[in-house]
Amino acid sequence: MLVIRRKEGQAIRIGDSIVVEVLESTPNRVKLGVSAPPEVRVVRAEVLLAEAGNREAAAAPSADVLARWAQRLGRESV
Amino acid sequence: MATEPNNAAGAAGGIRSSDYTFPAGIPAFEKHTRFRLLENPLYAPIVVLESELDPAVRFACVPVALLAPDYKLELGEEDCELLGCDASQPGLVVLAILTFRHGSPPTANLLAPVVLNPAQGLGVQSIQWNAQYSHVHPVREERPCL
Repeated sequence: MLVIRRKEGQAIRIGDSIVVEVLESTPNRVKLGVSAPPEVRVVRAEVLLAEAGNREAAAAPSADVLARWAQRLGRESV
Repeated sequence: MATEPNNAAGAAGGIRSSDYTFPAGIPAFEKHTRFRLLENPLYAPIVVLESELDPAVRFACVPVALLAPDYKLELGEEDCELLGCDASQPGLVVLAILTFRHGSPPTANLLAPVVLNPAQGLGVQSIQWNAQYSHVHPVREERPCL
């Protein structure tokens, strides 16, 4: 992984068309500004995790598997 | 939202079906904006969230509190808007989507729980940006206390 130190107001450029600027930095978080062409999808990494997780989870298992895990988890209603 | 027995099988088996609108869909399934929450006593505490657009898109879920009793849900402004309520609204249902993989126990997505507002029939999958919850939280079976 490439590691680059930047301060508020400084930026990095990725390729010819993507710029990531440090807008604000606090001890707990960094606020970034991303300039990219519309065809480049820019999302927080957690969105990709949620998408991948949903795609994998989208076919709920068979009734047998559900019943088996329901027993294991204990019977409590929502 | 309607909550009623789900057809003949539901009446016989006691399956409850509730309809929810997810105005933004859910990640990777943005076109799926209408879901049925199916509660079958045989599978409790597991419930199934089934897409009306494509019933093959079905998510097995459990209450988050069952897996993480100390779970702290943070609802952002956008999520609250989609749910038609504020973050302190009582009665919100918070579910973790389960992923079943062959040969290993299921995992639960605590990073992005499904939040339902039964009063409005609205739902959202709320990504917890500021927490350290896992999207593959291990699900372990309950063991009786001895």
